[in-house]
Amino acid sequence: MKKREKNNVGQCSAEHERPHRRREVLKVGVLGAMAAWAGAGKVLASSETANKQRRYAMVIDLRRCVGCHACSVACKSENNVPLGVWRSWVKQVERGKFPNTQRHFLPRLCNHCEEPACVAACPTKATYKREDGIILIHEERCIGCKLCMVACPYDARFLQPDKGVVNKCTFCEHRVDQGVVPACVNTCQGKARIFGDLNDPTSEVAKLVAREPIQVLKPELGTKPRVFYIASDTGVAGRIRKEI
Amino acid sequence: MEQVIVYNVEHHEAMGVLIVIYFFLSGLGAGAFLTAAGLRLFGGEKYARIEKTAAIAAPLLLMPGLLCLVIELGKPLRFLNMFFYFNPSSVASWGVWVINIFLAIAVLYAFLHVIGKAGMVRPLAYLGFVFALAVGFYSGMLLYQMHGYILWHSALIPVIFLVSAIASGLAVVLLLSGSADADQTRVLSKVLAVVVGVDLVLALTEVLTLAWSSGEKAAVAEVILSGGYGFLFIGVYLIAGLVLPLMVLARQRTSRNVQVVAAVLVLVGTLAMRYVIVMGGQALPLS
Repeated sequence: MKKREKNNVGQCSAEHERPHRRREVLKVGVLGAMAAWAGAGKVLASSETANKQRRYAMVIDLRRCVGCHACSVACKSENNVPLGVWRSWVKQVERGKFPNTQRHFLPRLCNHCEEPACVAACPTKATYKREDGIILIHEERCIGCKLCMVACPYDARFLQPDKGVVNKCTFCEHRVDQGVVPACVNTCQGKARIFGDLNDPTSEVAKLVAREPIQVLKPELGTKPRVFYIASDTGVAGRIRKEI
Repeated sequence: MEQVIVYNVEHHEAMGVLIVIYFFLSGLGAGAFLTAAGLRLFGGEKYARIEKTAAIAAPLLLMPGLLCLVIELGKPLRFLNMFFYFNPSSVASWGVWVINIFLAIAVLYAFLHVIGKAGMVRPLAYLGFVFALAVGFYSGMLLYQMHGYILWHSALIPVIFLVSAIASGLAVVLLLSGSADADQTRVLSKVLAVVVGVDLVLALTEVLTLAWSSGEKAAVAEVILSGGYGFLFIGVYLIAGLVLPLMVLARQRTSRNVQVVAAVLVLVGTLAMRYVIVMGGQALPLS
């Protein structure tokens, strides 16, 4: 397996290198190294399936989630998501009475379903599934009819207040296309979010999905979500319930 | 065991009151046209006067409804995209063609009545009859496609929407036909009573199957049978909008006052039902 450059920030600094301005080179290089140390630009594992069709997916290992909401913040910042609406958030439920109590987390985002109800319902084909499985929206074609919002059984979509068109999580397709993982995955403190190519048997997501006891949200609807949860709790999955 | 929801994001309701009004008005338009075409095809020439009223009312009721639909869009000026792009798996994509072809037929039909060429409209009445049925059916079908919403995802919803569209259309024509022959309005109110009866059976079937189930279906039943939605659904729709008109029309169909009261009750009930189905259907959070 051919190793790719360790991080994209390093690549950036290489591009900006100018022989006569050594101090700047040094500065960029140091910043790059710091960023690399912080894990700022985790790259997608290089794929042996480069010629095969990719299928991007995410695994969220809830045993590692501490409910810090860093993913929600990173998403807001990366994608300029307006106030009041969220592409990604962490649902939290508290169950039991002290001392027998526990908080359960469920990081949420678009499920990038294999059988997306939103794509089926869109009257203008503005929302579509890319070949690699990412569900996107042609913003210039969307009429804001909101039918995809009601079609989605996961409440993942919203009307962007400033644009009048529908918006949602895109798996950070602008980052993924550059070979970098989505912002939420990149920032996750407990490394609970793992992103990769499900069709590449050597990728971490493919291994986890194959080996771990995974669950998806509302599997009974047949939408085949491509966001998989490990150790998903019944109290947070699905509709809000006052008791289980 | 009890649990507390500490944090969650619920995005705003996608379908608002304008959609309720659109469903109501498009149902009225389709129902009024079905009345006009039905009188032409099954009633004959003697109903020409009521038929003309109904034929003119149909497009006038439908058009403000379509306006509501366009205003409700996030990008109203892009509504033409609905015609440029077609998605065969989307009910709305079919619906926009069905409803606009129907609008064209209804306008032409009304125009022919206005210029007094009503005699030659029989083929148009057949065609429009089919499209009006499709329009009444489609709004419920649109909701049915949204399989995350339990109240909407029922095979009875499109049928209930169609039947209540016919009932409300008959009611509005009955209201507008004050100067028509008493014998003819009596026939109209008889048909209205039958349609209202069918609507009542369908609505009871729908709500009782929900109430007698468990889990999420029972939770949805609780939403539409209690509180404000309960008042609208049971009080305004089931009792005032269906049972009362059925009772008064069964006893006394000839009195103009009874006809007017029954027609108004049916109209108010249909609007309340559309409101409860659309808004109440979205009341429970999805996640």
